[in-house]
Amino acid sequence: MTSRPAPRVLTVLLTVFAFEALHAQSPKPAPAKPAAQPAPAESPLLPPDKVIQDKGAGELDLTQFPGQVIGEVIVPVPSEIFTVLDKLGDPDWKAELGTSPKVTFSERTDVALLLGSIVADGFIAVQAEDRKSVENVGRSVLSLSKSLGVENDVIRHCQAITDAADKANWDGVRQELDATQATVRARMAEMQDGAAAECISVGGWLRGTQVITNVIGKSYSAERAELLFQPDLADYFNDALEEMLSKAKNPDKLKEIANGLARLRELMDNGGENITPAAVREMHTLTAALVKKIITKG
Amino acid sequence: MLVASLTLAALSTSARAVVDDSHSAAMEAAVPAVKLGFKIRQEYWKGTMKSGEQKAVRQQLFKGNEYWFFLGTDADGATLKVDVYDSKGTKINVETKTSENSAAVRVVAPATGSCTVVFTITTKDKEEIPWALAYGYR
Repeated sequence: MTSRPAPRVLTVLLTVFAFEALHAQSPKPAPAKPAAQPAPAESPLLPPDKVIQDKGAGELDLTQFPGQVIGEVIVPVPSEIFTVLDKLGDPDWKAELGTSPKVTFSERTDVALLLGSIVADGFIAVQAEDRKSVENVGRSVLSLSKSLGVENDVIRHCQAITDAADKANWDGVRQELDATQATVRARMAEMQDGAAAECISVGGWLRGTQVITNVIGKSYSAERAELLFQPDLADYFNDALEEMLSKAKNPDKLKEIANGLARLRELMDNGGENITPAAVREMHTLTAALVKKIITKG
Repeated sequence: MLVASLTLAALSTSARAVVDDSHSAAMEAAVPAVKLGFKIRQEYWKGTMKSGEQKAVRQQLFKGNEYWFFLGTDADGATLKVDVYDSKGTKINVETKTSENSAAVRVVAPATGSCTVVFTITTKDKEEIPWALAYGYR
């Protein structure tokens, strides 16, 4: 791949991410209506781009795909689900805020799991628009990044998180949380520490799922519960953890999480049927127990 | 102390800073969507491919969200194509945008679950074509 210092492309990147941040300084925008099919006239596209309204109806036999299916998975950030829950109701996000765990780990996978769950806490704090919690998250992220040896890569994000929270720029905070996670995962990959990179995603996904199952459980509908249909992600994480077990210094914790993920996968799939209130409750109990394991010692 | 740390961090970052031109092309295509409130994910897929080769990634979608997938390359004179299929293999993109060095498709998630994003890049003369694929949601 070609990579070179290039001011023009930097400008494009800055434009994209700065635009998001700037536009977030106003209060929450009106929720976008889902499932709308805008007419061509509403297209955001500018000339000279070529724009086609797709008709759909194309078919692909995924079992006979002739090319390469790339194994790398980009795990959705909690906000992707929170925004849908906001469209479906008005959850009490403040009730979902966690307390900052005061715990230190020496094992890198333990630190990475905790870091992932703390970043997810940041997304919850953004949803609750709770400045103090966001600042606590920024401090915890910096401290954990130091344990992972990536403090210098993360410090600018932590400062940006605090600055954006001070201005109640919630989209800016959201963007920096995503960037923090991306930066740490990329550095872990550079350091040949794929296990830690995956653990960041696992910790974040479990904490996010814990909160989402609680919100859905408080006001159940089949439509909300459908958001938990994520068996492929549970599978992916389960496989990743199983692979780490042979090299792990603390395999018991990872094994317990892997077992929990296998059960979550069963509950999320449910043979194609609706995810029931009982399944949502079990998912919540399960993820709460796993997150407790992640944020405490012993 | 904090100022010193920030300076060090900035220096270490700029020393390593390189720009992925394919990702920049994808981000250029993302600008109009950002103006409409789409949040662009910071993580993205990247790699190289041969002209005409098909590649795919899998991605979790949530019903109620709208997505744009942006494919970019720094290869000159390239033709890019992206399509998104649901788990049954039905194409679900509702709009396609192509321009020099990028292609983008919009998806209104019809259901919660995994989708498959299939893409190709065709050029006349480049053996290994760099590419980057990003997405945004709202």
